[in-house]
Amino acid sequence: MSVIPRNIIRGLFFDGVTSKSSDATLTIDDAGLVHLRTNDQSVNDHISQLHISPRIGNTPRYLYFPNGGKFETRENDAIDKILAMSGTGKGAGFIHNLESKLRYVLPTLIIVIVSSWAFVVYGIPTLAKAAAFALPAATSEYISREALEIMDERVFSPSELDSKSKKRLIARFNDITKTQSDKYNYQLVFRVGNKIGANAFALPSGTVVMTDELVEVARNDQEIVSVLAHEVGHVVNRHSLRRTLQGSVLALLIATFTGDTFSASTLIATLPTLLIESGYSRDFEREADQFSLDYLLDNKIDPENFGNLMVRLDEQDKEEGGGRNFFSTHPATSERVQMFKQGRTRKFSGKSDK
Amino acid sequence: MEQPQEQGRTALPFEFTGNGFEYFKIWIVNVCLSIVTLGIYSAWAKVRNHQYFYGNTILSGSSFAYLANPIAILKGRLIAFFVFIIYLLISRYYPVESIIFSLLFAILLPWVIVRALTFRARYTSYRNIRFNFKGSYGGALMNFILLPFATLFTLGLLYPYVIQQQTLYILGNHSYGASQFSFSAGAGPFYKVFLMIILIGIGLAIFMGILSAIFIPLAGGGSDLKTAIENEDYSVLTIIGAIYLFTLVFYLYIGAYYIASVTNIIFNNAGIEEHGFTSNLATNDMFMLYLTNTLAILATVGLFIPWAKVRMARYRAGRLKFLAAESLDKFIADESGKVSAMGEEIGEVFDIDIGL
Repeated sequence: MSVIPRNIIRGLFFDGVTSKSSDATLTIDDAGLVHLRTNDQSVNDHISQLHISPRIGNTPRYLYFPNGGKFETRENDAIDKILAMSGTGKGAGFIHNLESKLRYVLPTLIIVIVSSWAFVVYGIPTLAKAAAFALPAATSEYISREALEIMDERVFSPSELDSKSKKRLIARFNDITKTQSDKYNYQLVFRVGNKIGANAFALPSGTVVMTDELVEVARNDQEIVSVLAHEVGHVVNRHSLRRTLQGSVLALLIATFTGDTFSASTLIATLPTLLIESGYSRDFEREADQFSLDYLLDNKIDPENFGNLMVRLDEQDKEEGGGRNFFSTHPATSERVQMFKQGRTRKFSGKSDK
Repeated sequence: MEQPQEQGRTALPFEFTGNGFEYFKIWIVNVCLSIVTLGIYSAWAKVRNHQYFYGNTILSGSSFAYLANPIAILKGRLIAFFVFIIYLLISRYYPVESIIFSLLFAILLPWVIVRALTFRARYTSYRNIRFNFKGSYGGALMNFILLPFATLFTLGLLYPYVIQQQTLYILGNHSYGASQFSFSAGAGPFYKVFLMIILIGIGLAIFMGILSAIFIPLAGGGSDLKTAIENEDYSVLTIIGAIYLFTLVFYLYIGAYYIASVTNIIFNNAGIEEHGFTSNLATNDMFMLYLTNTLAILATVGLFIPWAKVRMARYRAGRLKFLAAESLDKFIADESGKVSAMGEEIGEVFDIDIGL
């Protein structure tokens, strides 16, 4: 068998015993026998016995011989030719083809952009929702109790509401919760909100906290019921658990993309994380608003009550110049009112069409 | 760059031969296939990434090679993923009991660190000789759990010492073939770096305080951020925004200073037998790289990441030299073995960044 001279590949040989570098040449004959020659040794093995590293860009190629030696060369095209000739390593060539041809760049780019967008906007929330409802409904009472204790210590003072109003509102609250199938430990408690002002929020255990200030701002019980239903909506839809799940997956995802770029990556990751999470948060608010809207309509309460209360809260906020945090997970009041109004119009016009 | 000779040793430059666009194509295919295969390809992507950067790092005519098997990495990744999910659920449903989990984690962490370092070292080779890491569990426990814990009670005064001890542990237990690495710096240089950062920080705080005190009342605001937003007071908002931006840029500068000086300390005091290293990263260069990379990544919604990584690798390699006391041909191989990828991947999921 003759050695084909045009196939001489130049590189370096390392025997694997010492770090000595030797200039080497490599040739392959028609039978697929690889001949490696350095100044003082020659190695001959069939190509099928060699381990040849995959091509990655124009990084050097490594051919490992059964005796532990390694041939390193920059002549990637020549190695590819050998592989093609011997019919080995076709799978690895496929990846390199994708990575090196300009015509694949645009399609891969489009796939990446569209699928990441779809995953963030639809995938993560859908997965988190499925996971949240697959998990037991009972969340730790402990977290909720802790949270309320901390708030009691730092923000709230005891409610000054008269017991008659409390009883009346708790009865309305129970009306909402008794129809729910999930067994949460539903409870309505009152506090003076102080710096958080007129406000209400739900804890994952099913406890809803309402401030005296909110009760004062409300002109009738129906307005309060609309807010209570909104808060129960958060509990029923397991928003707290879903927020945790979505936040974790998102953090993992962003870390994977920007990970080990360089130390400023945290800086780069912060902004998109904030934007996406506030987007998720707005989705939750919409869902809770929807729950409230459904409840109001089912119980023949005019949804306008919710809007009225929101508008009044908004005006009060403006007069007092603050109270709501700009970067909070809740959208601005005006935005929420508008969102609700749109939902209400849609729902009402939808009904009247029938 | 300045001295080819140092104490009779020849300075051999490191060189990074990668190219931004070439790497972009590899990176985007990696990301794309990882998405299409629901993350499974990410193990292969990681290997190809490493192979690209190692293979393009050249010293004295030959390259570094990354030899890890993607299947091993995939297995480790799956285990780490499930541990992460379990941790997430436990910490949610049983917050009190999750303290036990954290304790367990603290006990396991040193083992994970040792595994991760061993894995990376064993699967890195240069001139067909592999690196190795032989650090003990006790050493990792001391340097990565106990000492950092102790800094909490010393107002952080111990922190530079901890960094020095960690470097000593990592470098001192690494070997190339049968030759051991060494690290000769004490805690002194690290303390200098931290002192400098504190001084810069104090200076910045004073400067910012003065700036806000002068400009915000001047703009007619005389109030805080909330009021400014409520009143839609754009002149105040602009100034506050500018101050925030300035702070971010300064944070980047301090980061650049820290990375540049610590990297220099580590390499300039590292040795292997009679050989050594020199690294002369400059804070200003690093800062400009960070700043332009950050801006470009933000402006391109992340697509600039591959170029950013290549630019950084090229700069770092360009400032690093190997001080060869004799020929590079004299290193001898150690017997090789395999380790599971589990440690390394658990380390990655929990975002433990170790290494030089």
